Amino acid sequence: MQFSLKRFWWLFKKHTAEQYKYYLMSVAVLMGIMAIFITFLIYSENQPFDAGKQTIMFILLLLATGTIFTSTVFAHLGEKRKAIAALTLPASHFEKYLVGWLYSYVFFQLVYIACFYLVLFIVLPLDDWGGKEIEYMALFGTDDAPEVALLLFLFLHSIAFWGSIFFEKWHFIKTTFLFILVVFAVVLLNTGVWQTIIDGDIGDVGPFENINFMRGEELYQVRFPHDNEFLMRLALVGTALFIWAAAYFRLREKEV
Amino acid sequence: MIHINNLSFGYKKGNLLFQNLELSLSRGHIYGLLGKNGAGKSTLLKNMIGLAYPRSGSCTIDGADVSKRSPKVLENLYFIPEEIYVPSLSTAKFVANTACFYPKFNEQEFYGYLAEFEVPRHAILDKLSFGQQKKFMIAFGLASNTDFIVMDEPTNGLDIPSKVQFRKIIASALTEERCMIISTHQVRDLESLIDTLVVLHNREVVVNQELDKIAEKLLFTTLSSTEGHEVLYAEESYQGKHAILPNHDGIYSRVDMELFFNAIISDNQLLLHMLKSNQLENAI
Repeated sequence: MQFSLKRFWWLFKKHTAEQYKYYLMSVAVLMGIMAIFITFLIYSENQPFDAGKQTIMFILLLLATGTIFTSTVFAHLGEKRKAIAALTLPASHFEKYLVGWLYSYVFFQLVYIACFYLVLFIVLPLDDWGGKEIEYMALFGTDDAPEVALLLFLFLHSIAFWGSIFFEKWHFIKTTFLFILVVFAVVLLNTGVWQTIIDGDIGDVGPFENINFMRGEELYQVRFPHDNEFLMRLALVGTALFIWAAAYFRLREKEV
Repeated sequence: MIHINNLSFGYKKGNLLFQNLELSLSRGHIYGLLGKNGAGKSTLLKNMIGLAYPRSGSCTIDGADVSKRSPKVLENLYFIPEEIYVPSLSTAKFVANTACFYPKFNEQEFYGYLAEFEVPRHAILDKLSFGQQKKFMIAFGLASNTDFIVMDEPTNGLDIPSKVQFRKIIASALTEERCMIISTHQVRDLESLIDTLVVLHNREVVVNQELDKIAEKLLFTTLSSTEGHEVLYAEESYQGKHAILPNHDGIYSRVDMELFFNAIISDNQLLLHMLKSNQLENAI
């Protein structure tokens, strides 16, 4: 794995110079989508658009727009002319990978959060708060939902990122299709494996879930000794790291 | 030196396009890579620069495996594909953001080539015509001063004056340190430009010889009748018969590349045998 800070900076500059119009337009579209959805909900509901509703909107839009944007980051490698220009440029695969990763993961989230709050600041005063103070969602507060959303985005980003390199076209559709297939397969296999071990009906069981089953009249529960939330988070981060690594090796093997 | 060692390549599910290919290309030469449509010229070039991976064998540039696409190899190699991509940038911005990757890039030379090609100096690249874009990339590739320049059908899309200009510029840009490989199916575009001919046919390199060596062994002439002559290959024309004969008397004749290429792809075993035996004699 070769890395030169100087070359990385050149590549970053070149990428930015060639893509900034597309990125600026994407930011405008992102803010437009946020404004339309939030304004629609403000005017269609009698209750104020409180922190809870803001969090749901934050999560849904982050996962949807983030994965769509990530799917486009290496989409040019599916187009022969652009792929030749990109792959023959004298920079290492890791440097090329890192530029795409920075834009789609780090910069996207920063821009997304900034845009979300900007739209909230503009749109929320239009809502009827019934004399109460305007409420804003806290990113790292007592409610850990936004934090979980960022963790979930890390996981989904890795999949979308891999898909943008692996597929030649229809990156988002193909990646989503494959993801749904894999989720179904994992749930079915996980349930099947546990049914074989327990030797009885346990219903549908997802990975890292507690199990409840009957033995005669007795109800048995197989649980993690402590809260399994930490394990779930670890599994998501570990899987994301693994898929990011797979994406890197796929980039190295990319042919035209 | 570009060295292709025992290379076999085939696309997924397909048959092998090349089998146990051996080829060495040295500095100080302009190679013309010829082959019929579908012979695999572009694929061979892609193998040469690490854009396609062989099923077996390897391709190296100065001993380094090209399939790794390491920056060290890429900064000394410039590839101009048949269909090029240019970003939506001005000439100056493209140079400012791309030239830094090529340590021997010479800006003065670049603008000199642009002027010779009559490409506007302050253009937005994606607004140029296809031919202009191609000339821009050829100028950039030459000014990058990489030791290896690989061009796939570079004259496609160029008008007649530009083709003349192209031959002039390429000939002037050749140095002892440089190796240029030009693939084409328009043989006439390369006449008086290339010094070594590489012909790809039936999954292998059937010819890899300098034009001078070919001319030493073969005589290219026009005959009114082939009777009484030891003709290896001939084609009818309004002037008589364009023919290839063994050059027993060491008479110099200019290699008619189109005639020679047609003779090769017609599987003229006598001619191929003569070229191969001559290669052996040279080796001895």
